[in-house]
Amino acid sequence: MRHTLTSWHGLLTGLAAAHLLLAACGALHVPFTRVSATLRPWMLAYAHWTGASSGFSFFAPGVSPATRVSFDLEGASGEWLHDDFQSDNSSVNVRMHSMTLRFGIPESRDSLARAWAAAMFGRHPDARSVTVRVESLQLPSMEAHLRGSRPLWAEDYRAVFERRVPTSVSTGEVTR
Amino acid sequence: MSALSWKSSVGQRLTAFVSAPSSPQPLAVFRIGVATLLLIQAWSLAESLPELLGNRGWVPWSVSEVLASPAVPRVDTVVGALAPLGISQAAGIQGLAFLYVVALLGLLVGLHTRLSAVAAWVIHTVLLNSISFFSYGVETFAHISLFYCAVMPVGAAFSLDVQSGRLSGAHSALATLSLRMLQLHLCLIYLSTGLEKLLGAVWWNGTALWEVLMQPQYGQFDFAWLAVVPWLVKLSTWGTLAVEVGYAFCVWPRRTRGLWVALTLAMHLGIAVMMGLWLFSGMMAVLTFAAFGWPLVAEAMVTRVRAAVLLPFHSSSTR
Repeated sequence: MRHTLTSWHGLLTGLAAAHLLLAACGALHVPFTRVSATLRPWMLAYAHWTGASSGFSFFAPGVSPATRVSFDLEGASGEWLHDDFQSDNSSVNVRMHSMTLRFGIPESRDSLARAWAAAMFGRHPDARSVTVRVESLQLPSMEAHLRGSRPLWAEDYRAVFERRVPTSVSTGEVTR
Repeated sequence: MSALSWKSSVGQRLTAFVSAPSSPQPLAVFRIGVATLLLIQAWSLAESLPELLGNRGWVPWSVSEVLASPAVPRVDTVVGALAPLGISQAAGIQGLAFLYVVALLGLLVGLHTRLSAVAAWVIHTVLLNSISFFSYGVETFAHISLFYCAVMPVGAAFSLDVQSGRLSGAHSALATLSLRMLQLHLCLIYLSTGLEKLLGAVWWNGTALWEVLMQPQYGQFDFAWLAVVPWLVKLSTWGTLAVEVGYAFCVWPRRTRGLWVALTLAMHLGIAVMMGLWLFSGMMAVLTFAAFGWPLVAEAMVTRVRAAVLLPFHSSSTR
């Protein structure tokens, strides 16, 4: 059976091909640097709205080490309390993990730690200070594991925040 | 065969590849699968909306802005626009989430499918641009899928729109082009992720899965015993690479298509069980099943029904 391409279907096929080409650029991390300055914002907007800019580097090229965030809180009478972001909801835990992985973005590290400290002050209204600790997992190789080495958490970041104002007025204001 | 006739034959095949009318059923399976998974996701995160999206949540708006696209509005834009109407931040976020769920329900049952899909896609894009710090693979694929639901004839089968006569369920060239686009995009996804893995030493030396499964966030069980059987880790690591890189080449020929669909679905089942990434795996399984698996299943069902109908007549005529 002979198939003919109508001009309308030909146009749609061309648009589909252009979209896939853009998606290929996104998947292969090809930047739009060679595109003219006028066209670039439009292409970026299109790519962001449609997901064509998405990359698919899942555990590639390497596997990022596990990261965990924990909090040590000092209570009103000097007692210490430990807390973290673990939830009973696994969907929330996956998102918490994504968030801690992005702690690696240098420009948002301190702001993130401050926001987490504020969240902890909200959760523990009596706390005077909170220490934010971010650690990464150092995993031994399979051979080393067989020889007795075990995974170790190494501290990457530590910051102490103190409550700035009395508990009754605010629970979120923190100072480092 | 002359060069001219060869060229014309290839042209004819390519034309048929994108325009020979086909059933819209795979696209409907895609729509139903995506909408179902996103409804489950919305339900599972409903109680955490203030923490994920609010300005006093785990990532304030001023921080999450770093990863956001300037071309897409964010929740703060929507909340800001609603504030003069006396709608609070919490109510604005809840309203947006409610509209998203309504749109997904419309998409699921195929009621005013195009409108529902466009609404779900736009709201999802806004939400995604607001929770960049929390997003992972499932959001990437949900975003791509909802865009496709908005532009493809996904409501032309298994939908209330077809039942009520608003849409035709006939085979169409547009259904074929849409399916091809979905299929080619999937090949691109698997090939790029596979090739990128090939750049990493842990994938070459076969220890990548040890590093993944030993992470407390992913390991659903204690996988330390894998150190005793390194060959199993290597086999699984290289098997993952083979399935991903081989996808683009082995999912097209009829002889290997069924096998590759089965291998891909098995790989995603493994990711779900061993790493606990159920929604991500579900989304990937839906995409492959709809694009490549459903046509095989539908074909097998038709053959079986035809055999069941014709067999009695055939048996009686040969008796």
